[in-house]
Amino acid sequence: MQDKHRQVITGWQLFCLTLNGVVATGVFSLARDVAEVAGAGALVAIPLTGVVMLVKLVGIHLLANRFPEQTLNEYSYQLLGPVLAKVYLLIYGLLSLAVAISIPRAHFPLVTAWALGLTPKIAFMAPLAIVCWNVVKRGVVVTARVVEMFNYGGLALMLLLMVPVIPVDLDFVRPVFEQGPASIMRGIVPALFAFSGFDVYLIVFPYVRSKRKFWIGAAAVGMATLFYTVTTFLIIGNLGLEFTLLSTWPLQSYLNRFSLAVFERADVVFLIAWIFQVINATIVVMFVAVSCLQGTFPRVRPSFIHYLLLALSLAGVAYPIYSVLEAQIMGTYSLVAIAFLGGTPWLLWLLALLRGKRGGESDAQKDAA
Amino acid sequence: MRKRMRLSAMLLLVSLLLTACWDQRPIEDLALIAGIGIDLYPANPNLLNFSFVYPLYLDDKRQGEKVELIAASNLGEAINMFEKRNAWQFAGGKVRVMAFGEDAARKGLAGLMEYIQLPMVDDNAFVVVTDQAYKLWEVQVPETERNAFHIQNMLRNAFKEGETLRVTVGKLITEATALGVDAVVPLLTRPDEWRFNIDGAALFRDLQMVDTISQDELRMLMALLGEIAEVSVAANVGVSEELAKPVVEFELLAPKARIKPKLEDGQLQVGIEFSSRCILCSYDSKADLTEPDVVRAIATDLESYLLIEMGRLLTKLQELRVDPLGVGKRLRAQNPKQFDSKQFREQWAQAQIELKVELQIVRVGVLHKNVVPGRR
Repeated sequence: MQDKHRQVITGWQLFCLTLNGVVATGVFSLARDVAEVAGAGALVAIPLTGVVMLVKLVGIHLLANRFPEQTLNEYSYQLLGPVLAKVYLLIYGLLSLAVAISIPRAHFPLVTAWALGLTPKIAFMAPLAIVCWNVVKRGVVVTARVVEMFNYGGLALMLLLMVPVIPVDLDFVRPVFEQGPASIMRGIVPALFAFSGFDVYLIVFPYVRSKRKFWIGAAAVGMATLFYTVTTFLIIGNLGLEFTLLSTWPLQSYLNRFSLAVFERADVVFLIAWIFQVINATIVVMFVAVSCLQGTFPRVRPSFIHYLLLALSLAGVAYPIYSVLEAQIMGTYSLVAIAFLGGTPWLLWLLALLRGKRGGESDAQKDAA
Repeated sequence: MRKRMRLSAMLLLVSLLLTACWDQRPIEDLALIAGIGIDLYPANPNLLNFSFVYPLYLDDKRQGEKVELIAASNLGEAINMFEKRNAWQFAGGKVRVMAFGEDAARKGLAGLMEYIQLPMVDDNAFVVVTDQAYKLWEVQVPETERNAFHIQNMLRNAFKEGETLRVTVGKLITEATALGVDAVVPLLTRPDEWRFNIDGAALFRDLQMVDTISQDELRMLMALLGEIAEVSVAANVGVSEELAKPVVEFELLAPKARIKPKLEDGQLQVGIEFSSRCILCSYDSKADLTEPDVVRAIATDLESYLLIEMGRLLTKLQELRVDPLGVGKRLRAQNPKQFDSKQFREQWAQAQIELKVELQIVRVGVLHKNVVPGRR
């Protein structure tokens, strides 16, 4: 138990974990989802969502920084008591598990439509879930290192995607305030799902050896915001607002217009390469889920928790749901998850402040260690 | 030992689940579609006559390509019927050319547009309008060439030489769906059974073709669109005092048109400021081109020529109520409250256009670089 308090994660690994928890399948339909509500104002709504997420990060950081030597599993018991803490951690874990399931589920229809029309869902998603689970069950060090390794490729893809290879028609993206400020504010809601997933910051905080943790987290959220904003700008600027709304996956339609001598089908190449980003995001969110479930059932053997997570993940990816219903569930879920995952760190921090609870030298667990 | 057994079992399971098992596509089983033609089906005008052309690499080398004719209501249905009829799988990722027969284009692009959400064909395939699309595949090009590849190369070269626009499936779909801009598609003709010719362009209003423009008019349009690095123009103009007007060939380099629309009291006013650098390639006259004044006078004459020709083109576009220049798109971008997509076409037809042309001759021929005014 004492090993997990050692500061084994570098600042760069924290950046990788935070960024890769966020950027996954949302980018494929983000431009359409937000533009449906905000029009060209999506180019303002997305950065605003980034600001909202930064506020969430501030809450997470304040809470984690109040107990710098402990994980969420430990100080939530101090703050909430055993029963409420278990409920809190269970909800936290299940919501994270739901994200871990929804990421590959959201990616599968895209892969089916574009490249793998005959492959059954279970054949695609079960190996993906097993691979991610296998990384997660090995602990924080392996998880951080694997995510770091995949991140080099994912970051390169993100940077490549932000290069304006195809000319952009500025008339298609102007004026961004055509739909009015109210629409832009409403456009934040569909963007939230694409920005969720960096709660891992709260879990790995005590393991990080860097002193500039907040700025590293903020840089990761900033990078995700920049990536989403630039890709949305390029997509709407190239496809036009009307076709962006008609297209099921605007990013793929945009990539279909790349005509390079090196590879003619950039959309398919990108889709294949992006699977590593999907794996990375699933790993990060699954790690959060398993950490919270371990906190919920501290007396249960970790291996049992691991197998429970695998069983739930496989059941989640295999369970048949009509795609329309799935989209509705994900839409509702994202709001609930964002409200819970974004709001509770602030509430816990406020509670700690009011009750004068603080980690560090005076903490009982630290003394025991 | 137990761990190794588990690992082996897991690896076996994963290898069985590998996606390539289901989605392997041997190239021999693929019909790599090179060209798609869309005509009206003669027996039933409610159906479209799709002609798919694909090269035969293995089966019959003497016959370079095979054409499949399918009557269907849209592209998706035609693809399904193609795959039922043939052992090959439809592979649309390598489509070089998509040709619309004129009748089908005048009826509308619905056969294609119903399937734009998931691209069935490569968005970079060139689009042309021709008399009858399926006949394009019957033209006897040299044996080493296949028609779809030949047309693609011809269009690509013509675009590089400033002879035509580069219109792809993706661009056509964007322009057909976007508010405030209309599509223009190159027109391909068959002067005889051995040749193709690019001859002007087809104008679209929303999803329907409405008319054609000549090659000279297309050059003016390309200059105004400003998307082409070079536009070659051959015109009968000359120094004003000469009675016999000599033939002039000149190239417009990186032409730019600043289009500023505004609505005043319901009246659309469009200011177009066209400017370009120009190379005087050929001037069939005895005028002394080493004299800056002569070159300046020629530039003035060329400006007048462009002013007249562009004015004629704009009048034609107004009469047809088509807006390939994207005036509506600009109005919407600059003054969204003034733009009404339902009324815009009528406003465009009644618009007052103020056109200004400014040319700067930067070179005369290949050798006389120093005759350009201001460059001595």
